[in-house]
Amino acid sequence: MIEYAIVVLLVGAFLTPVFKRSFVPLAAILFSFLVMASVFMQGQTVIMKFSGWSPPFGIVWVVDSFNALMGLLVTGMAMLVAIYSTKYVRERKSRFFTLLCLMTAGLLGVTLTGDVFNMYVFFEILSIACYGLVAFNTDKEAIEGALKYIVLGPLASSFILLGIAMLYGLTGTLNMADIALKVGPDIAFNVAFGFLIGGFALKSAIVPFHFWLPDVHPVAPSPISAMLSGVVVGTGVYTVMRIIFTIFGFSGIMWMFVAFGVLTMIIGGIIAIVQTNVKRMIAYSTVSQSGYIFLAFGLGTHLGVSAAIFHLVNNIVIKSLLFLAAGIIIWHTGKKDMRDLGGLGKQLPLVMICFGIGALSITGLPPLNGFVSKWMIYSATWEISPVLTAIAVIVSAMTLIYYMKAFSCVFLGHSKCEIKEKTPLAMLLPVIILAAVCVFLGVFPQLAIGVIERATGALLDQSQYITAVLGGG
Amino acid sequence: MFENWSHFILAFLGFICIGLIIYLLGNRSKKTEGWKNEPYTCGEPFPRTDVGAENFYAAIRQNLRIDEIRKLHSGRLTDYLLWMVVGVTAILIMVIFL
Repeated sequence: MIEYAIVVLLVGAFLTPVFKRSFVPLAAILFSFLVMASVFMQGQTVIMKFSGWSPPFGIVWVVDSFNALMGLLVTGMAMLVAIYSTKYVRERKSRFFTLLCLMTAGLLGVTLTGDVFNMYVFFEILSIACYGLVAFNTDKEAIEGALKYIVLGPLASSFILLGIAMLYGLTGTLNMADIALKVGPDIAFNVAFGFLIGGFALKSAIVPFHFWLPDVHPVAPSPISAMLSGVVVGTGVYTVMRIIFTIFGFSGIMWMFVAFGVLTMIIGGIIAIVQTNVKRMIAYSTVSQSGYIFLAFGLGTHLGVSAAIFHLVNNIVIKSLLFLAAGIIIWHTGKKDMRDLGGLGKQLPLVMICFGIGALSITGLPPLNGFVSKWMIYSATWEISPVLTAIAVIVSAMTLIYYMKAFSCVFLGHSKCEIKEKTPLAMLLPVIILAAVCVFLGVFPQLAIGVIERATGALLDQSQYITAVLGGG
Repeated sequence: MFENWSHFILAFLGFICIGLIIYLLGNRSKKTEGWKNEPYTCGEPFPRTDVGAENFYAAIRQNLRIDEIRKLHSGRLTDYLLWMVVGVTAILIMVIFL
């Protein structure tokens, strides 16, 4: 059944330009979402063999608690973005939705596969769709952003391919579980690991691989910015975690990731403070939050990895919310610069409330979901080094600083723009749903923590993964 | 550790409500003559201020020397490529030698 989640998306991508109707991609994405929801509800590890070939010879998809959660998030966010885009995108809709379906298929493939080369192929499908979507507005900024992405993306892919080729040369297999069994003390494995992490670091936007992100994410249409900053970066981080814990089976503190995480948090936070373009500011915030996730899983403790997964989930939800809310403002005013905006709170009160919820949540204030994951990060870092906790708290204060500025400049003060149209329900509804999720997970975090604990268990239990894949399945 | 999250959140909301009630009680209109509600000589005049986005947190910007970090984000592709190669090299050095 899982394979249909991607097959239907690919079929949807090719049928969209034929029918030229939005219901085709919407139906395809909804179907994938329902499939992933049913897999997620089952709560069991599912192994799907292609053409009946048993692993390690054939390609397998392995769905455990961690990637079932990721798959649910990917399809859920794609669903909300597709609904939003039915009104946001005013022209060349069929091209947009074709690429959106391909992007979702790529994302889902990356999260579900248990084969490293298959993962690379899906990353390429995802990347090619992203290049097209970033350039979708066809203005100077969009073309420049897309060109940067097109040059840097393949360079990262080359590093990933080099790492995969080395792993294949060393182990003679591409199956993740089989590679995990054969990883040894040979220094060549470390080099392969380095190339893989280097390649995926670009997708995860950690310093110093983050430079492209603030140039690329803000120039895309806002629903695509939401997908890029939330789900695409999240999938990059997911892949890094999969490589570290499932393939290489690291345990204990990984200072390299802690160092990268701290640097990323601070640099992303500092530069976000001085931004005047609201989308660029949110993009830098993505860099900063990516740093939090790297810091947390770099600690290597159970609590640290749980905190990282929870913050990963929260970051996907909150970044999507913030970009979609910013998209409504841009859709109405045509302006991204905070200096040209002001006093929109009276004209767009619902958007103001939802943006405020997202901003407070990513800052880590109760009773919102961001508070719970950040508290977990503080607790996890406290166990290792209070200095790391202090840095994390200070960067949270920075987050409050730049979101206060954005909120104040856009929604408070004198009105500089007049809103003439009513916001379409299709655009408002996803924003309200995401804001409600932030509040719900903040007030009832036990529900999320149960799921996060299962995902953490699945990620950290390397032997169970290997047994599930190679031991019959 | 996280078993009592709901209690914490409820307590947090409860304290906000108590604070709000105290605030509202304190601001209840009292039957006093108008002049008695006004301060005598103290207090600051409150001119309307409008700080533009450019000048928001200007002090932070100057003191943290943010502009110097911003220069690294030059927008030039060659610089970004260089940083990427530097990053991969740093990772390789760390995974091989550390």
